[in-house]
Amino acid sequence: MRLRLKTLSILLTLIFAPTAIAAAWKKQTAVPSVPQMTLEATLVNLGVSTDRVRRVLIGPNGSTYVLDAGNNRVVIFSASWTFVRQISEIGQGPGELFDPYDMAVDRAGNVYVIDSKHRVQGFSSEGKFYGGFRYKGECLAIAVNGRGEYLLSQPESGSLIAVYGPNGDYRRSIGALKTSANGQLRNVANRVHIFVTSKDDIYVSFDHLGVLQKYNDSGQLQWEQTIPGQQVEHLRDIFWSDAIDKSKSGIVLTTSYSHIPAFYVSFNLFLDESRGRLYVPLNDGSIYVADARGNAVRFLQQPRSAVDFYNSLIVDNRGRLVATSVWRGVLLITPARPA
Amino acid sequence: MISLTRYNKIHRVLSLLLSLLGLAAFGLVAHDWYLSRSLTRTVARISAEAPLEYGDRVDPNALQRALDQAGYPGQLKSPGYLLLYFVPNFAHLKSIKYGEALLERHGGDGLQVFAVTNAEPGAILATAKSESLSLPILFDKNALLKLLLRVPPNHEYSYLLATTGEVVFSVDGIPQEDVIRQIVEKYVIGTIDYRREPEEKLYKIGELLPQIKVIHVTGGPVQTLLVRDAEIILISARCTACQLQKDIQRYRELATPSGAGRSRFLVFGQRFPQQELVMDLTAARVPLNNVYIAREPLGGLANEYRTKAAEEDSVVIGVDQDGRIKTVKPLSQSE
Repeated sequence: MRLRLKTLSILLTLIFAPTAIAAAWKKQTAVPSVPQMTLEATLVNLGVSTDRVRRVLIGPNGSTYVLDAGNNRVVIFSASWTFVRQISEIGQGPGELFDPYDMAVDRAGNVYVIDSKHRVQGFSSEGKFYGGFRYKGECLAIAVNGRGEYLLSQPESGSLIAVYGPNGDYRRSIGALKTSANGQLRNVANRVHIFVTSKDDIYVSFDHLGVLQKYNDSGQLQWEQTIPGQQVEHLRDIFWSDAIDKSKSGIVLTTSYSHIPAFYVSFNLFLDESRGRLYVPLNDGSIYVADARGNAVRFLQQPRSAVDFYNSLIVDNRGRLVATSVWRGVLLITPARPA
Repeated sequence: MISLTRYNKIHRVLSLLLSLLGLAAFGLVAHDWYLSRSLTRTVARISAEAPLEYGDRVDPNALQRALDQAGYPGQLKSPGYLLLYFVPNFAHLKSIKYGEALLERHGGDGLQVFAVTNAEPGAILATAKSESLSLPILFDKNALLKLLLRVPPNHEYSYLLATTGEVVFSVDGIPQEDVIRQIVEKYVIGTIDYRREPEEKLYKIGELLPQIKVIHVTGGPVQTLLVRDAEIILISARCTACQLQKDIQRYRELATPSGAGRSRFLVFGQRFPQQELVMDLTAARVPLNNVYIAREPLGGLANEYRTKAAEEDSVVIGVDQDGRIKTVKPLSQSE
């Protein structure tokens, strides 16, 4: 009898255990069902012509800094979107910008810009040129922390982020590189955009992988999350695929980084610290919203008729979502109509 | 009959002369070899050096000599600026056509613009003629200009130089039109115009669409395009390469005869190079029968009609039976 019971229990275990494990596995890996909302974008009337805006950031007193890359300058607007001043202009000399890639703004309103001449250049909020330094290799993203250190996305240096002192002295590195199964495209796959909070926590978004990470101020990894959903999965697949014509797969923005054409999955991330919401624009024109630990909250989708995508966004001091569009400039976004 | 002594004398003199000639010949060959070796070394040394960049200077006299040997027609004026497009061949002609607009706009402000090449003049001039390239071409056959500015071999390279020899801008390749426009404005006239297009050059509904001088995209004489009860798609030339890349699918859809039977004309801005345009459109299967290239600026030098709200460079203008503008839509929103 006991033997029969034992045999039965073994049989039941053998039958149900794999099912239970499979169910548990499925639960762990299933794409969470996150609510989606349609978003409507309207053009912000800046009163100033901008072209190929690459980044928008919040400055002191609710001011907004816009990296007007097509015009090789930074433009500052007040909280009510009136023009305050222009910082720098096109040129290859000191204090001039040539094809700027990204910028960072510190708490005093000083702005730091990286450009295609491999320079980090600092300007006061009044536009005075402070100086800068040249970095080696490639870098397409910058952030600055409360210690006045520059955080540059430089996977070629052997880590995700290289940290430099105010004088351009290399100090330390943050983040381990990810490698694909065959080890290819390592530098491209590890290009990140960076957001540093008021407490010097560091959030990064992998441009081509749809992965988010948080590091503390001493550079220790706190968590890592993968942006869920079929869209990102699809974009990620396209990135790793050998398909030449990727234009059939949604909106395409490619870049040539280290002479390797790459396909973006996500862009500049932004943490709304007061509300604990993380925003990441995606290459299909949607915006991913997560909590401060990177857990999915919702996707904001464009109306079907819209063809646009956002490369940077902020939540302004009135709680409005302000995004920059590669084609259209600065936009005010109203999430509406839950799908 | 000559004596033996005399014969010996003549023989000696002739031998001496022959020896001297041999020595001279050897000297010439050795000198040639030395010069060639020295030149090779110099070229290798210069080529190995980085191209000149912002803040570097060239001797203005050396610059003048190098320009002279390349066929530069005059003396460098000071103050003034030289925009030099180094092009090993004319494969990317559309990129340098913008130089014509800059020259036309700022020639009176002291700007001179040249395409510089050390390719064979015959083929280059034929291409320039077929593409209506009016930009002056310098034939840098001895590569003196190229060496002076340390242009890497077989590279497209662009420089803006003050005529005093100061390099104010250099870039590998041919810069985008907006980039070089801003650089030229900054240095030549001292003010950068950030407006994308002056207001007065925008279209106005109800006005007569001006007659436009065009050539057919496949060639032929200049003709005047009269548009009545039809649509005209104007493709301005803000950034010819990126516009074609971005909008070509849309052109194809609109140019397909199934487009509701409407008469549609495609008119490309005058800076679009003809041969490349034909190639691009053919590759995109765009019918060429109603496709033209403007032979004059449309509504102003920089061109042209632009939709006010969307600031698009490509617009579809509906024209009524009297030739008046009745609708203007961005190409992307047209049906």
